[in-house]
Amino acid sequence: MSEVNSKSSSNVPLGQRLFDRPFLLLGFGLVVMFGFYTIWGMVEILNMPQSPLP
Amino acid sequence: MNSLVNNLANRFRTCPVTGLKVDKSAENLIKVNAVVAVVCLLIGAIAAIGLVFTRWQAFHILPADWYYRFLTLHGLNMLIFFIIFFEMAVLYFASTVVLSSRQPAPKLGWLAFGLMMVGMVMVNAMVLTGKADVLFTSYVPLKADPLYYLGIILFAVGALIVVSLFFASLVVAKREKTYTGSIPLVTFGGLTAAIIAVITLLHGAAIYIPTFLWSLGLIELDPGIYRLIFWGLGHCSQQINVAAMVSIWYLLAGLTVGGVVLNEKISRAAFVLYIGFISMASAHHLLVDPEFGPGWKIWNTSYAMYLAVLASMVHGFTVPAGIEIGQRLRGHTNGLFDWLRKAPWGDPGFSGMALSIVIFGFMGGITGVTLGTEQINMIAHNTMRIPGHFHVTVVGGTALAFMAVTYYVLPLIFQKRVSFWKLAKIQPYLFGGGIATMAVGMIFQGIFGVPRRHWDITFKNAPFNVEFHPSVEIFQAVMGIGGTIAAIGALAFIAIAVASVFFGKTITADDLKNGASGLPQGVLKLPPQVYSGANVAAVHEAGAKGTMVLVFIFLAAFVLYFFVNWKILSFIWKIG
Ligand code: HEM
Ligand SMILES: [Cu+2]
Repeated sequence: MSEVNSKSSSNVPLGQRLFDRPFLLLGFGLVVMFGFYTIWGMVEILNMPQSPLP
Repeated sequence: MNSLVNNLANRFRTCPVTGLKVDKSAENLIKVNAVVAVVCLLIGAIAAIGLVFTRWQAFHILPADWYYRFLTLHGLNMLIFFIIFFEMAVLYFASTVVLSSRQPAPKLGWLAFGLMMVGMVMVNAMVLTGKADVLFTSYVPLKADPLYYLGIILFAVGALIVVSLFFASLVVAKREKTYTGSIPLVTFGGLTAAIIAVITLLHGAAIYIPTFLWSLGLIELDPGIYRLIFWGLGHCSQQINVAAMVSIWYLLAGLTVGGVVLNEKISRAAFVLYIGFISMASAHHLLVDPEFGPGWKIWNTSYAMYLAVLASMVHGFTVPAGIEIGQRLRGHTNGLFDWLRKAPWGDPGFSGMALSIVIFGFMGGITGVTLGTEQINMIAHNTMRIPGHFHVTVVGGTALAFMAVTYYVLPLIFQKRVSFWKLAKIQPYLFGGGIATMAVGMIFQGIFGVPRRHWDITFKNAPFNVEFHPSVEIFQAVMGIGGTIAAIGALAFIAIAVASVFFGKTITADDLKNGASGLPQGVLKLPPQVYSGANVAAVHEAGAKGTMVLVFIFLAAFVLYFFVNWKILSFIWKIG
């Protein structure tokens, strides 16, 4: 949705064009958090070895 | 069709101070959310007084069960209800008002507000009737009444609707071209808060729905998994606060002293670093949990997370430097600190913001980075150092910033003069000073090993004996006195806000012209938001020298505190 006006924005720097796309930023935030914290964390829990205690 | 157009035209008013077009239906949503936030603050503040005088063993007023009930009540009403209701108001403001756009679905906004109200009342009813003595973390297998979890879920669904409305407003404003170019920085900060809110609420749904089912006896739930997903909610919600607070700093810097944004690119990049890397710091709550390896812990709480710390340091520099440049452009150019001396310290909007920056940056930032270091966490986890830390971040930082902006919201949104103006001028000092003092008391108790969430550290009637260093008594008094002052500051704020909203005088054009009391100086005479003229180049050339000095003082304090902590660790944890 954010790529409207792309003709007039050809001289807008790349960084600014990326920052102007709210849903791209949303995706970035979700991927980093779920990848590194949530999913990796679940993998750590699920791979925990069984306790050898009786 | 014509009536629709008319309807829309009547929905807007033009703000006489800022010239922004304000959608009245968004304005009403801002009002109700802010008012309920203040009510929750009142409940939390009353509970706080009970907590302070229980932890202070010289008084020890509450019995054990009521101490934990009040702790639950305080945590929920302050950290969740007060803060989030206020943030809903901030999101409506940062989208519709700042962009002069219309609120795309006001009815949905009211539905969300209703859901949040019902959830809040349900949760408080469960806590006060003793059916949810589980603290705001409600760690499984501690079990509350199912209605407690249902209340939290309703509240969260309401909040998710408001966040969606924020995104919808962005889309609508862009399509209807109510602004040109990129969204303003304040809205970009609001966007950061909204994105982190989505991350937060997804984790909330992922954990509270299973916990609700578990409380009904339908499924089993693993405590380790609960903690992992819960902190995806519990920690990230604090980062919504940080993003909202920083946006308010930028907003107030402009409104109070015409602070400039030094570099849009850098400020926005710092917000993007928050979006990417601040949420994963949730792992610092799990640093003593055995099921995670050091790789996961250190990646999430150190290496990657330092990118978010970098972002905080960027904002911590650019906001004061922007204020300094703004002040210099307005003619306060002498020496290093003339701009600070000549600042409007009697304007609670300014003093509240300035104290919020100092308390959050100096005290909160330094303690936070230190506590989040895996090794040092070993000697600090679950001690009073933790509440000491978060009362200077979320309270001395966020809550104080929210109070400061209220002194501008009352005249600009509610169109009322601020009541009890003399009290309002000192309120930020009472609240900020009190909280900072209380936090120092808490932090030192924690250094001597005093635990948090503990009813009686004298262990009376216990089969064993635990003795703390005698100086702990002194730090309990420091905490008690600071906490009392802070609570008075909070109650003063509530009195001012309620009196202004319900009994305050409506602003007239004459009030603005004659400088009536109860109007902050930035409202009476909005500082220039864009500068021109001969001295602009000279001021920019000279730079923000005063802020640079402050930055180096900050860095020195940081290094000192960090290494003192490693030294303490080496005393306790002897190797070889
Ligand atoms: C009005 C001034 C305030 C005072 C005097 C105060 C005091 C306290 C005290 C004494 C505790 C108990 C610490 C313990 O026993 O472990 C506490 C806990 C807490 N406070 Fe505050 N507080 C204040 C405001 C706030 C605000 C505004 C917030 C959030 C925005 C907040 C968030 C919390 C949280 C999250 C806890 C921890 C609850 C728990 O351990 O479950 N406080 N506060
Ligand atoms: Cu955290």
